[in-house]
Parts: sequence; structure tokens; C-alpha cells
Amino acid sequence: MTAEEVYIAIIVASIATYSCRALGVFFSKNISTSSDLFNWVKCISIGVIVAVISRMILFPIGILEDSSVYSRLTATILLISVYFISKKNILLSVFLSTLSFVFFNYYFN
Amino acid sequence: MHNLQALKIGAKDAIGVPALGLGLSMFAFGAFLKSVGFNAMQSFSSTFFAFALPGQFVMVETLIAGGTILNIFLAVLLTNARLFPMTVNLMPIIREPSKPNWKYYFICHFIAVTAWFNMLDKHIKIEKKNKYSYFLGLGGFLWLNSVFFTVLGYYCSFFVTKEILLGMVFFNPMYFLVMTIGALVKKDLILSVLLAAFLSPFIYIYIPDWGVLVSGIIAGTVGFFTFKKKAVYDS
Repeated sequence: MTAEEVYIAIIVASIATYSCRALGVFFSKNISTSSDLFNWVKCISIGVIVAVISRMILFPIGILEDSSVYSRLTATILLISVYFISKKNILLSVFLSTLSFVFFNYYFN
Repeated sequence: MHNLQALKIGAKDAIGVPALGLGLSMFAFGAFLKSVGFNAMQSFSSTFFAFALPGQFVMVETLIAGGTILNIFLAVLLTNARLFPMTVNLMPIIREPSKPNWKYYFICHFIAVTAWFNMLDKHIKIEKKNKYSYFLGLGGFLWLNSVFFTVLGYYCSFFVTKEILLGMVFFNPMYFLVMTIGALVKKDLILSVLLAAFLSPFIYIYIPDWGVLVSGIIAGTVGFFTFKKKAVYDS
């Protein structure tokens, strides 16, 4: 892979990424925050985000591919449990689940 | 409140868990870029211009696998397609009739999951006329923070073990998940989230390229129309 190829890849990726956002700006012109369309798109957005999170936990790509699915699932269960037990403490739940992920991955992978 | 004040408050709200979560993932991404042979300028450019982490990972992996320009474009487009509904959802919140259109085409570069969730969480407390500046502060800070951490990860990767790098990458999806749970105040959103969580692994197995997008569209559509229909009957 040459330097030119890397820069071309970055330019192409930038165009693809920006297109998704720019099309969003274009199509949102006449949407009101009180409309059904606005709420429908919100449901779809959150659905897609959850699908992304599910994929990262169950079928990750990149660095996370080297971790075990059990460590990822255990950390996810711990996250949700701590979040509700600690009365929705985001920092505590995220830190503890990440620590458990590192621990389980280190000792049981 | 002046626009500058709103911008500062937005940036201040980004500091803490949002900036840390995104920063740790970007640090790991910077370390990953170094390990695959990118130089510092290429690492910087990747986050500066193509800011959206899952797409950035896909770009690098497609490039390493010997993909063509078209392969890279389509792979990144599909991976980052979630940004389209997120932008459609966020723009009506921050749009002001007095502002020229190009400003929205500029600010949309800062839309990513962390900024989106935090904006939806906080925007009710911000006056309509200040929402643009507030998001500029929030999203702009998170973007600059991401560029900084990518470069930091590139230069400092040798300080960090592989296990810690894994933890850094895993921090962000965990943060996204609690933010998602925290945003579940309406029944249609709860149903959308539950359906997406249960459907997406099965759909992803059959259509890996489109799985995330298709699952989100099905889950969101079923979630929305289930309770919309009920609301019509109730009224």
C-alpha cells in the first residue's frame, strides 16, 4: 500500500461519510420536530445505533475481533445491571463493565 | 445567552465522559493505524476528514485487503449510513430560518453518535436561537478531541498493551449503550431498541453488508407504527 493509495482511500472515505450527512441536511429541510416523520426517523436512528452496538458486541470488526464473545457479553450484562443498581450512574457502569471486559479477556481468552 | 456563550457551554458539556469515551477509541484507532503502516499525517487526515470511527476502521481494512476505490466507497457508505437518519433527526432541532443553508452543511460534519445522543439529551434546556452554537461547541469539541486522540494514539501506542487497547475500544460501545438506555423515555423508542437488539444478530448473519441498516429500519418502523396506530385508536 503506497502513500498515494492511503490518501485516495481517505478522500474516498471522506466523500462517502460526508454524503450521508449532507443528504441528511438536504432531506431534513421541511421536517418539523412535531411531525410523525421526525419521530419515525428518530426510531430508525436509534434502531440503527442499537444494531451497530449489537454488531460490535457479537460480530466485531477491527481490534475487538481479538477479544472473546464471552468477555463482551459479560461486560454488557454487567453494564446494564450496574447502570440500574447505581441509579443510572453512566461513568460507574461504563468503567466497571470495561474493567470486567479487560479482566475476563486477559484471564479467560 | 449569547451565541459564544452557547458555544462554550456546548464544548463544556462535551468534556468528561463523552470526550473520554470517544477519545479512548480514537487513541486505539491511532495505535491501529500505526500498526498497519499509516504515517502521522495520514492518521490525522483520516479523523479530520472522514470522522466516524466504524467507517474509518472499514476504510483501513478494505484498503489492507486490497479493495478498489469503489469497494472502499461502498463499504464506508454502508457502514456510515446511520449518519443519514441521525442528521435528518438532528437538523430540525438546530435549524433556524435566519441562518444561511451552508452553515448546516458545515456543522453536519460533527454529527456522530456521541454528539447526537448528547444533543438530544441536552437540547431541551437550550433556547432555540442558541441550539446551532451549542451543537457547534459540543460536536466541534468532540471532533477536535478525536483528531487529537488519534494522533496521540499514533505516537504513544508503544506505552499501551494490547489488552488495554482492547478495553479502550470497548469503552465506547458501552457508553453508547447506556446513552441509548438513558434515552428510552417513550414506548416507540423502547420497542425499536428491543427489536433492533434481538433482530440484528440474525439479519446480520444473512446479509452482513446491509444487516445493520435493515435491522434498524425494520425495528424503528415497527416500533414507531405500533404505537402510532395505538395513539390514533386512543384518540
